Amino acid sequence: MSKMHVSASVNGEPVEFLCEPQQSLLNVLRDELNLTGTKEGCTTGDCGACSVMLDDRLVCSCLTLAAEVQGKSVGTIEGVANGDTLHPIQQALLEHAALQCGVCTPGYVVAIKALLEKNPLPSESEIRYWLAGNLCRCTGYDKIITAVQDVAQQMAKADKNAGEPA
Amino acid sequence: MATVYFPDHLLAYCENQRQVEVHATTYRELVRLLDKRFPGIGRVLSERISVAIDGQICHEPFLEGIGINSEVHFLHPIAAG
Amino acid sequence: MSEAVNFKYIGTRPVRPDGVDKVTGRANYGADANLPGMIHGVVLRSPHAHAIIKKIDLSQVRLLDGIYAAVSGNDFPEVSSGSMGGEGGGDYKDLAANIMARNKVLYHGHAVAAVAARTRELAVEALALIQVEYEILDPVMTLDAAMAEDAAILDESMFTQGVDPKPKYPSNIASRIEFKRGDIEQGFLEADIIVESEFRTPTVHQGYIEPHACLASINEGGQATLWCSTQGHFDVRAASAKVLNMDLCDIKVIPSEIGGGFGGKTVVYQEPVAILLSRISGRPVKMVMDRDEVFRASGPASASHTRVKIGARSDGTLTAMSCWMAFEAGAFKGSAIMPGAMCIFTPYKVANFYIEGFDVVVNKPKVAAYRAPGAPQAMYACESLMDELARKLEMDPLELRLVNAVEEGVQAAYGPKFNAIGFRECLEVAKQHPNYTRALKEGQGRGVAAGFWFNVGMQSSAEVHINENGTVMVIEGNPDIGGSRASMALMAAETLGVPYEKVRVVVADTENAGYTNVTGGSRVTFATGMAVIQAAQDIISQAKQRAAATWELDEDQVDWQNGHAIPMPGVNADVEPLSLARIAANSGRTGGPLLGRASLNAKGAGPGFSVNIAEVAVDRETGKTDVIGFTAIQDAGKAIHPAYVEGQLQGGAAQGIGWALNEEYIYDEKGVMQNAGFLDYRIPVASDLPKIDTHIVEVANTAHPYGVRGVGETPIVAPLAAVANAVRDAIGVRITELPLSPSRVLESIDGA
Repeated sequence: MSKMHVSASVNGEPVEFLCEPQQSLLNVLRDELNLTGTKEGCTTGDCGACSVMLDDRLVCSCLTLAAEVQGKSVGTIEGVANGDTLHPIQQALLEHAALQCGVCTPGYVVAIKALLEKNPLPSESEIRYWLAGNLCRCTGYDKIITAVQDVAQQMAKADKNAGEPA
Repeated sequence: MATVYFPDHLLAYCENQRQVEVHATTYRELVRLLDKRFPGIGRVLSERISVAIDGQICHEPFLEGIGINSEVHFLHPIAAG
Repeated sequence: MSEAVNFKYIGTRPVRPDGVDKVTGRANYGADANLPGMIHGVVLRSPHAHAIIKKIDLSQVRLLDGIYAAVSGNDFPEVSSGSMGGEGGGDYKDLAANIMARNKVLYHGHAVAAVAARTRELAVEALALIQVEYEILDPVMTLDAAMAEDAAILDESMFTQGVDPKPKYPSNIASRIEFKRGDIEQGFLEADIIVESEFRTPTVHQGYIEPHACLASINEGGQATLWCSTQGHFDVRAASAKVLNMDLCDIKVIPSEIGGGFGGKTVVYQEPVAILLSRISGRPVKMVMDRDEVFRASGPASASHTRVKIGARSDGTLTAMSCWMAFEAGAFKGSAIMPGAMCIFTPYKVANFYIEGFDVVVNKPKVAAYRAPGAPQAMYACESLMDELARKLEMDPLELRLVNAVEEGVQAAYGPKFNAIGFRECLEVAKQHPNYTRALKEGQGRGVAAGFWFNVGMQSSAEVHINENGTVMVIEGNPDIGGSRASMALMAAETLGVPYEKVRVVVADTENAGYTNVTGGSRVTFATGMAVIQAAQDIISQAKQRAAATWELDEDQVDWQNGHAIPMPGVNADVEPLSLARIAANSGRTGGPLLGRASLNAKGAGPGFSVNIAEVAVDRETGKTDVIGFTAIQDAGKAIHPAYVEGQLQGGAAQGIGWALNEEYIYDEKGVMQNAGFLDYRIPVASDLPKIDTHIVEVANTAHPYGVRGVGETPIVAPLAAVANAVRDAIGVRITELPLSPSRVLESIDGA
């Protein structure tokens, strides 16, 4: 079977690639586009290590066909930091020591960002349920939750200050 | 004299003595002396065994120093995790 | 240095040196490396749990376009029997047979053959062309079945070790061990009260998120380079050399970042296969397990069966403790029965004890270390029965433990006398903790349990290089699995007196770091930390020499303080202190670069004790247990980076809670695992857990310059019994088999 030609945007840049019809987005990101920040933990949508944004939706890239992203925009971990500045979520995870082995961390960063865009000040319970699809075997989740609570407060405060007249 | 304590699984090698006194300055010497007293035990005490000298566990004790009043215990080596 | 010390860097919580790469996706893990011309290797796995391999035919698959290599057990050299070291008593011959089956398959998922192809997809398709003829045997799936007299035998050459006289017939019981002290019968006669019960725990998996992955490339001269995710690249080198009959110096192992291990990545599975496929194909070969393979063919931890009996006086003083325990080893001998038996009664002073243990093979994957191997299963049994004893005595369970707790000077059940340990301190903290006394509602319960792990030392190497501007490079050989670069940098900064931010830590490969044992056993911060401290001290001694030469003083006239050489008090020298940066800048004239090093076989690892408080709510309608509060208290000796110590306590608690409530391998009657994925093998997710409160006790380990004990293993030991005791408290019935799944809880409530 001949390969499919797909045009999409990845982290704001236009990208074209060829893929097999059955090939997953995760596979294309990692093996064709060399974006290995997105991790493979299960390929069955259970662990969340491969979380990416597809337009404004958080998806498991292992369950998304690469061909599905034609004309769409894909956001991966590599596009989260702004130039030489870490995103506040990345900074908060570091300061709270919210990662141990770190292999689940890229998925968390993407998932947390999606959460705070929808719900800027989530409760602890909302955070825990939103992140229930992202497995972490090292931390017991405690420091991740604290980091999210902390960064949500910080970002809300920064937004408020930005909104107020100088 | 250092006091050497034998655990259960070594009693067969030391005429069922629970503890003996040995005058040695290193583990190697201690094993040599014990082997004279209990022929055969030297090999057991040189292979895959950890030793605690005054409570400090050493993995491969060979050259470890033994004090005049040291207490020496043997145990299975632990690694893992 | 056990007295109170004001540390400048130790005990602070800076960002880890490798942090930015890990939050941005830049860090490279096992599956993230690629090479030009790379092809992909996959493994054909046994569809049977127990069978004889009559014939393997690779001829068809070798003809397929795009297939570069195909191998089976026949393509590997014969490996003779020899101990791999470690407490499991693993054998290289068994390791080789586990990597690729020879003659017999011993579990569903056992590797039978492997192929390397242009793409992974093509390789997977090609597996269908491999023809294997099996003679199917009865699977032996439980301890009871394996130990039965008429059991099918996994290995006809296995005769039980440790029984006298030597047995006449082969057995699935690989070995029997025994520990005893005092007079056990007399001990029970002295008891006012005796409790006994038996407990079972299931097969569970370490559940690291990153599957095993490697990339091997071998050149025409037979020199191999292996990139892989491992807890110990020197062990990967040794195992690969052994299995492939290669010279150690022909294998270079580069450790990738590691996505979790918990003991499960101390073992080699596909690395030698990748090297062999690379040799045959002349190309780099990448192999990545999928999750299904991880469950079926790597890890897991032993299922266990333990009968315990405890006798005590009416004031709670223990008079006798005895147990019979059996651990599944999986397909090959070597469970963690030895450390399990050595620690089951260790927290308590008891004059009379008797411990009998069995290492038993079954048709499941060969077990691997899992965090404090053997201890969780063993202490789940002991600590559950201690809870029952407290109930019978109508005594506070912490008080019962305080009455019997081991302390400095007491002879441990496993042999030596304890130096300073923090068990009593942990119990006292628990007693005073608000989470121990707050009111619970109807349907809720609280349980406590103690945990213990030996902690280990072993061999480590470290180098400290001083750059020409005085900044510091630490070079060591332990893959950083949970923030150890940060603790190494903190200890180097503290020792040298230079800011943490000026220290970089490199985890170097087998050609660039001195030999170092695995990241495991809670040994890295203790033993490798000690090597780093000694290498830094080596730098200080050199820096003092250089300052003495600069000042035309004798070396013993120079002191080192706050990162500067200064004249000793009383030395009459009109000189300015020399910083490490100044000394480094001038090192060309004083003898060349500053390079410190140390290698050691660390002795004096400090035992780690813990106490956990679990609070649960049990839904009597569904049988579901929610953990609503969890408190982990542990003696760390000294917490170098307290946030990562807390992280170890919390992570171990979560794994232990999963072990207690959800996790288990479920097999069908043919020995096929039914839940080999994260959907059905449910590890705790964020919404399953509460905040996990921590309290770090610090009773310094006098054998370490900064008092470190090591913390990684102990946290998983106590949660099993703490949760089980809390469920017992909530429902009024004791369930003696894990996991405490909703159906099992419901049955117990209904049966009560």
